[in-house]
Amino acid sequence: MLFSSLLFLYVFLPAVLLLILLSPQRWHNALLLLASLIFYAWGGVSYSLLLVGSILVNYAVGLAIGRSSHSIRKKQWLIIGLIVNLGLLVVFKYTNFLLGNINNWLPPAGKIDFKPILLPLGISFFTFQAISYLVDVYRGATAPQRKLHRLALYISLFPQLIAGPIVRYKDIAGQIRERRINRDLLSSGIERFIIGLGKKVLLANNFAPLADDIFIVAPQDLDPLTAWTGLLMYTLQIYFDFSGYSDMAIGLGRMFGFQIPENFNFPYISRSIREFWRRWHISLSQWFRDYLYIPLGGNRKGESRTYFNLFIVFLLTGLWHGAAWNFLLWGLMHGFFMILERLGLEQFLKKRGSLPSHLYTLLVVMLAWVLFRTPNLHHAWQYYLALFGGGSATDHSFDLAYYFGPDLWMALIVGLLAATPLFRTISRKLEKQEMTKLQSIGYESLTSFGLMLIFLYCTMELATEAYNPFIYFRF
Amino acid sequence: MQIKTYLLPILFMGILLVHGLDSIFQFFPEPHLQENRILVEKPELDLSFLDPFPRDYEAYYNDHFNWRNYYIRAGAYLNYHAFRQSALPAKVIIGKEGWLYKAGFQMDMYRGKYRFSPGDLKILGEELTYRKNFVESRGGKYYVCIAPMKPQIYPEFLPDNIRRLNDQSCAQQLGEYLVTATDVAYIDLFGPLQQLKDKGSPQLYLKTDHHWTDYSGMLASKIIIDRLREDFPLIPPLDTSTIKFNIAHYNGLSLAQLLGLENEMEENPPTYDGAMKFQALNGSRPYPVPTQFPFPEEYCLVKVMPNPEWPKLMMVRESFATPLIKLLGDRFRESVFLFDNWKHQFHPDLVEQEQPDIYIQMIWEGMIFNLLPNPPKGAGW
Repeated sequence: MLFSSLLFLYVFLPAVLLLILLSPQRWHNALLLLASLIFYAWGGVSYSLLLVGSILVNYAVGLAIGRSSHSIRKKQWLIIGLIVNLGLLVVFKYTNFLLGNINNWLPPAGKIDFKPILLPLGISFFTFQAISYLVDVYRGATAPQRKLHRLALYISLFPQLIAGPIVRYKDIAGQIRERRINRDLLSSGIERFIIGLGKKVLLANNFAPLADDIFIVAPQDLDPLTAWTGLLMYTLQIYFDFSGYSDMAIGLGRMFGFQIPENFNFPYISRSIREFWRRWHISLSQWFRDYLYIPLGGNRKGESRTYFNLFIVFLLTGLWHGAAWNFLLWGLMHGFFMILERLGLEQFLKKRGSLPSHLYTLLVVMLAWVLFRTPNLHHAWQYYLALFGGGSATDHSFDLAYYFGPDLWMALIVGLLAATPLFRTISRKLEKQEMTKLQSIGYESLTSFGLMLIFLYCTMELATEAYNPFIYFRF
Repeated sequence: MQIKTYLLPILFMGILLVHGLDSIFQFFPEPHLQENRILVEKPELDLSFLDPFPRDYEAYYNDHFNWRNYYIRAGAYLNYHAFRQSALPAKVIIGKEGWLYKAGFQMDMYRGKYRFSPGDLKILGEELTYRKNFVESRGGKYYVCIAPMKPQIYPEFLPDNIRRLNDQSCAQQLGEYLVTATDVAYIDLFGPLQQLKDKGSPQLYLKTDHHWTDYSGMLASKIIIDRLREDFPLIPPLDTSTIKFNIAHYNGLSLAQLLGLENEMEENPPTYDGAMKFQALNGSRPYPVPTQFPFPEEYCLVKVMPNPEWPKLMMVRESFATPLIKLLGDRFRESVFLFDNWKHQFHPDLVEQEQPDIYIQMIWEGMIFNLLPNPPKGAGW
């Protein structure tokens, strides 16, 4: 079930919200768990068993780690837990890729005959959350959870179950145990949810058709302007799609009393790839930092080891996003520029002012999105050629003007501005201004009604338009 | 006190609750919308195989979403008045001066995104030649006639951002191929209609529908009769000066209704005087009507005239031929008009049965890809 579906907005959400608001606090976890399991089952009934299995295994392994007095025993249990979790991920996410590549090397008669495995919804997200739990228990950062329903709620909590943010166990264990829903949290949750919905429905969905139509054209037929337009549309689409989803997850969390950590902080204004990863999919970067980069030695074991660690982290970041060579190269491209920056590129750019740094970062990020968006390496290479004039000389085969109606222009202007902190700065300045009581009431009423208009406008778009897939659901 | 912390939850929950309550009690009746499709039916819950249920139920819910038609109408109204553009750009394009155009596959055809490949033309040529040979072997003559899409004749009212990628449309491609590479008789309506429009004829196409007007129907009849008379001089000529027209006044038609903007738009086309309606037909055939064909009373129309020396006509048609029926029907000893459910197939069994002197395959340009054995995805309506 998508957050931006009519069924979620007008049936699931009000039903769960009403049940939670009208029930005693001691029932909240059980109700949320039930809602989360229904939410997951709605996306794939058969795969619900996988989620339930993951919960049971991680619960048992967490207890075993906690009960082991000997450090070797603890480690053995952790390794078992990691093997199970990563094994699930490998089987369900990478089997098709591995067998497909093996088959490429085999003679036609010897090819392995296999039925492609469907990717269970959100497996990358809930597996990483489960690993964070086991590692935190192993490290002693948190006690093992003895109540099964609490661990089940952590792994399956529906606001962040299928597209993040990836919440570390130690950051949320206390909130699962005890939290209160209050008016401020509910109101700010609704506000954040509507903003996220608007980002998805009014911005990302407006950029998607043009991006899709350009990326489907044979790149040899694309002129540079069209190819760059397609790339710009995708750059905006993926940001508003994913950050919109994260906003909705954070907003829903707040409605139910949780403080889910931030996942985006205007990544496209970064001045380096290093900074970009502190602003883009923050929860994933932090997960890799805490559970991979630092355990590998981080930057404490010399320069060359640091580069190797970065290489490993970005190789796996790429693979986490998808079982394809494109994703692997996408990760490595980011890793490559991260290493270049450490070697002096960042300092070099810094000395030349902020504009070259911004342009460099945006260019690298956008060029990397080509690998992310294209279906295979050949298409990606051809697309790169098209970007730099190796495709068609004119836009005769793709008519950009056809797409640029007033709504796309408006979405583009709002989108470009909303990718910067401009609107947030304006709203914070307004909120900080000294206001009379009447002005304050007027301002808050205006913003409340404005948000409701956005909500209704989104409903109108959803009722009218069937085009509504979330990009990050395939990871 | 922060008023927002009270107001926002009340408004948000209020909307969701009112919506939920109305979906149960139906306080507000939904306005009608023309959708040209059957809405998804409620799926049955099969406990032994649950996987498809959520997807099917969601499709059902989206189609039956409470206030859906209000939202669609509001979207259409907002888009039309704020941006002068369509809320359903994949279905309808809002042009200039109140002109609406069918979007989607047909607009892509007009723009030249879809073209016949040399292989396609060869397949079509062979198919139509087979049809021609079959009719000729039974003593008749076979003709193909293509009704142009609205933007071919009225491109000037399209939005400025729509331009053609190819000057020659696929219908013109096919027409040219039939004339140069086959001996299938092709009746060209594109050039003559364009010329008549340039000379200042009354409105040839409806502004808020994809069909042509009765006036255009009369011109098409004249062009067809003139062409047929070259081969069958006994067919009486059509004197268009005797045909009377009135100016009708309607609300917006099908494309406007699709957008929910029928009350915002109006249509004043030249229409035949009442006596010209095709209901004046006087024959019938017991051919079985295809299931789910929406116009069973129009499936097979027959006109018989007391002039045994005139030839017999059989026309396999679609809705564009409707305003031609009376004018053509009066000029043959017997005329059989078959509305073949937009299949555009050949009907050898009917040819055997009817033994027509003239067999016309009339097809709207927007449907000509249906003539291919494997039409592109999205072809058709």
